[in-house]
Amino acid sequence: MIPSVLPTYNRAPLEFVKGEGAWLTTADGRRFLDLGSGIAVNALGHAHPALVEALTSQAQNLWHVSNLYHIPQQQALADKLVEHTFADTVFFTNSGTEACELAVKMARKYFYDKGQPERVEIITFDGSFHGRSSAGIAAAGSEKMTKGFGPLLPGFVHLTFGDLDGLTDAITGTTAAIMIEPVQGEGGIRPVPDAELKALRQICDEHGLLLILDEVQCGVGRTGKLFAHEWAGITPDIMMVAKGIGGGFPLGAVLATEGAASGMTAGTHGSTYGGNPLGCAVGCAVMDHVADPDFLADVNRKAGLLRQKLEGLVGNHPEVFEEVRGAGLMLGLKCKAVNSDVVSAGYENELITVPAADNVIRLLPPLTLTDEDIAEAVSRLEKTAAQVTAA
Amino acid sequence: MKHFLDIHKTDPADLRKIIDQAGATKQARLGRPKAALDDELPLKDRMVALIFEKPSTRTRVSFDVGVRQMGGQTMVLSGKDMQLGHGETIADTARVLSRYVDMIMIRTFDETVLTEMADYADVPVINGLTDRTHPCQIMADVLTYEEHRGPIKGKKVVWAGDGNNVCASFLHAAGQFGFDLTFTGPSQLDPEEEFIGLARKAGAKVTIERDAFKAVEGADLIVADTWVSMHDSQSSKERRHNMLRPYQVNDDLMAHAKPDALFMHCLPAHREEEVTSAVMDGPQSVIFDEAENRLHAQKAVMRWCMGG
Repeated sequence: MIPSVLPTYNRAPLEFVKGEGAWLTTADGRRFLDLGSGIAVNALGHAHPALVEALTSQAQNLWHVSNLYHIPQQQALADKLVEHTFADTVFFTNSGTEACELAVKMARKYFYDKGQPERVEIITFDGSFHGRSSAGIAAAGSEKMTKGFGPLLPGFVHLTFGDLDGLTDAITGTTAAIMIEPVQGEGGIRPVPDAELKALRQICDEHGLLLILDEVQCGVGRTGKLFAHEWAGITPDIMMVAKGIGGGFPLGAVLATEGAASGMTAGTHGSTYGGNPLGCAVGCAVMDHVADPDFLADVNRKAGLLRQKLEGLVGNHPEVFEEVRGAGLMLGLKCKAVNSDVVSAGYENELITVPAADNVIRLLPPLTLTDEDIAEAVSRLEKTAAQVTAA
Repeated sequence: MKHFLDIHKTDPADLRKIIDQAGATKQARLGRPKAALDDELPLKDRMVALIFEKPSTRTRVSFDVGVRQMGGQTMVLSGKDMQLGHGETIADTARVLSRYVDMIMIRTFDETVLTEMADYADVPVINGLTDRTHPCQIMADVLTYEEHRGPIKGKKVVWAGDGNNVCASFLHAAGQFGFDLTFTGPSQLDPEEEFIGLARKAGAKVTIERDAFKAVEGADLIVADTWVSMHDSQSSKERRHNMLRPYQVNDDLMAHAKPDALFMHCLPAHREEEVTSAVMDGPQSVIFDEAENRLHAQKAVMRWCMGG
């Protein structure tokens, strides 16, 4: 008999009742160190007082009115995002994959309005993940994501990750945009080198294409910059944001330049819940913390410390781990052992990590992780590695 | 022809002779004005070409002064003005210079420029730094360590930070002088495998330890270098800073080493980045002796090259 919850997930046998900072507690009182943050969502950790305050005080006043009316919290969050990024304008969604839907629509509408309706194709790369919506799976294009769900939304061209030569060949008169994650998350924590991002920007400029960055997982301070592309010194035309921006409350956004968004006029897109007062109140509180240069400097400091210790871990357990990869507090441990075995052994040591493709385990801790948490995390990873070796 | 191209290409007995000679000449000059001649003048009537493709303070001044103290003369040349390898092949430049000068010191980017110069020059060629190695610096460092603490053989040296060209020469020296070398830094900036292999083959114990505090346990000498090179962009600077910050040499780190451990840095240093001012100016730092010893070590290198 099918369970009452649609069984699309292989869930771990864990159930949490409370969260605080980087720690989760089960009903029987076991405390787990959370290096997953709900897949990079709890940017400020669990139950951050500022977010609790923002949400509860908003909840006591107004939950929802729809986008038929002005929403001051939405305006405030959009203003903050515009102030701190390349963007001129913001549309709020509930999730990352909805942001992907709009990014695709926005790019196509841009060329349609410019009198080039044939330019609909979006170039993406293998290993990418843009969510589970119809556009998201078509964009990713992997068999794992798309099998059985055809016919797929047409208009995506899939290239090999890092293949710049192939990219130039793939650009035609029907190409509209290039869509890429600056650091692939699901794909196994694969950062795009700065030089490559710069080259992509240049190629887009030369061919009049739009550059769409998917910063759903790597954005909002995760790599030590507010957004990961800042490391390469470039800006996109359109950017997808979600996960960390809501700190745990479902919230996403599409950020765009005025030019890229020029086709999106009244009536061209909408969302019932997107940008509602609750989500945006929390989003404002998140931005107030994450956009602070001192906060980002501390993320970078801690990222260096964690990475240093992880490099030591890999050196001590070459039979379990191959390498450390990633940027900031978006780190991956490429495994020699089976990654899901390492994740499961972690649960036994009350440690939460997240598997990814390419036999990687992801470490996406809250950005508020303390130095003591880092030491504890590495100690539990050491135990986990020893356990995997012994098994 | 005795070229001084790399520490691992020079016989250990010769390296020892150079260090001892450097120490003796330094002692003999104590109290003399900087431009006073040495007692012996092994470069009398000799002309030395000093070629710089990269900017330099210590290398330029120390070689220039050193040649003069040994009775010789220098000609300082900029690689840019000479169009090294552009208007003329390196081989032809080497042949031409050999007709005018008695020795060539070159500071360049690409190691092949150095080796090609040595292949075709009829006079000794000295490596004043390439992108891969910096042997003269390490000769000064060995001299400095031994002045303060006696033989470096069997000691534990820790390199903290970027496994760059200076680190590479430390690895070469570990093999030739018989000390242990621990590298602590991020894996992206590990020294080249080839250098580690050479050092191990020569009998040195080379360790890579990512935890800086563990790395410096039992260390006799801690060495750091700048995190960022001149050509790095702003964003890559920040990335390198973030990557290297856990390897900063500060009081906490020094406290985990032996109580009498020394600190060295080839300079220029970026204070509060790779090393704190407290360490640089503290009692364990020998950075200015180290800078001075460039002069004495290189004089001994030049003397050895000329057959002395």
